Amino acid sequence: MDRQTNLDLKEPLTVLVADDDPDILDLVVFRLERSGCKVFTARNGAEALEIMRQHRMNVVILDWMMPVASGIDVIERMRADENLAEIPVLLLTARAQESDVVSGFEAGADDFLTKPFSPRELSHRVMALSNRRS
Amino acid sequence: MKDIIFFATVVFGVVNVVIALLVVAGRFIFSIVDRRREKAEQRLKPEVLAWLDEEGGSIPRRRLEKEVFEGLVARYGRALRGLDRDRLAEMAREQGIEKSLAQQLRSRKWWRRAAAAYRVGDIGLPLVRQLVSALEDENRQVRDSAARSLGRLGAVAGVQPLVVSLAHNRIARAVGAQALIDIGLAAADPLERLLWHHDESIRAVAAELLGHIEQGSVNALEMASNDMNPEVRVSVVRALGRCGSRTSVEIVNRMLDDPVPFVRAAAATAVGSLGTKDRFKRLVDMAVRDEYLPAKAAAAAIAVLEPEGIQRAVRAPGAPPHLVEAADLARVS
Repeated sequence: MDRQTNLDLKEPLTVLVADDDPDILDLVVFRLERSGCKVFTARNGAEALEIMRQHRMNVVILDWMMPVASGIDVIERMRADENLAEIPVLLLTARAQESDVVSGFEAGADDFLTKPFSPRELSHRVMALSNRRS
Repeated sequence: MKDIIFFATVVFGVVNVVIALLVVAGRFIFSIVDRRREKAEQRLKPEVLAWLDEEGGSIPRRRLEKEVFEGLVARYGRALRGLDRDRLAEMAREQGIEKSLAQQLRSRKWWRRAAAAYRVGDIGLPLVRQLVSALEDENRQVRDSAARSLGRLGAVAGVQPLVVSLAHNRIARAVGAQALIDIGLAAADPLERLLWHHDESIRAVAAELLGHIEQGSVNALEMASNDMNPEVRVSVVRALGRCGSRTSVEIVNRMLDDPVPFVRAAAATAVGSLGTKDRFKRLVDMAVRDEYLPAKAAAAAIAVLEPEGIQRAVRAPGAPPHLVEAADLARVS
């Protein structure tokens, strides 16, 4: 079995992906589902927060620039909410400057990946984040 | 007379009705095509995604579905990098998309050529020769799409044609420059060679772009700083202003004494960007005595280098007007 897959776990990893670009959502969902994850999707920050409050997530993948609430806004609200504060967050963004990476981590992100991206790398990072937290 | 007016009114009315019907029919047909395209997209998405794992079927034969399929491959390719993008490109080559896009690049319809040029870069198909030819296309959008794709492909063979197109305003400045930045360090050698091109506009573009790409090109820029053409010297000094090495500081400082005012102005701006005070007195002298452009640029550089000093200096009676203006701008910015 591929080392990155999650098929040997009793319960699949639950991952939320929030991005306003449908193509990115397609690619991330495809790769994570192939890795055995259960994937929820959101098109904006507010929708992402609502889904997180309804379902327990193991990892959250957020785009930085989204309508309604940005990825950074979502992270800040998550860290202020005791039910969501512990969920690991990976920022997936087109902002690749060093200052952006620093701002992302300062806001409370656990990992950072820039677009264009490799879905395989993303999938490995999601597994690593989940293992680190557990 | 009445008959003529009546006849004209009837003809006018009939023409209006026909036009209205044509518009409605057109919209109806477009909405049907859009819906079919949307349905095809939903149906074909899993097929294209499966290509990432070297699964999935071959491309559809029907024209609309084939177009949708190619569009999806390009859109996904744009978002990807690494192994997944390589795999998508490999599948596109195997399944004949490369051949199809090469044909579309020769289409009579410019929008087909432009879309094909764009998709080649998104998917990562090595149709460099065809894209270089597309830089000569009669349509600007085709040329811009080809330039963008050459950048995305990192095509070193595209450097010279891109610079020539930029120098002759055949492609959008931002698109061409971004393409060369995307090619990155590999573009440095061909750009350095273009510093000795017989066409001064090409030399100027090459010099300016070197400042965006490669810090190690200071030696080539130093030689080009003696170019006969002042436009080229301006580009060289701007590039050196971005490089930031000790050697570039020395050359920029020397160019503060250039005989051409707008070269001195560019040199003063570059000194401000580099943050060097080696020739601070010369800057002050320029701000007080030089011609309008270099004096203004020197004052702005002083405001950057000595933000507090300039505020003190302009409080004195009879302060030079360019210094006063630069101090005011520094205060508000």
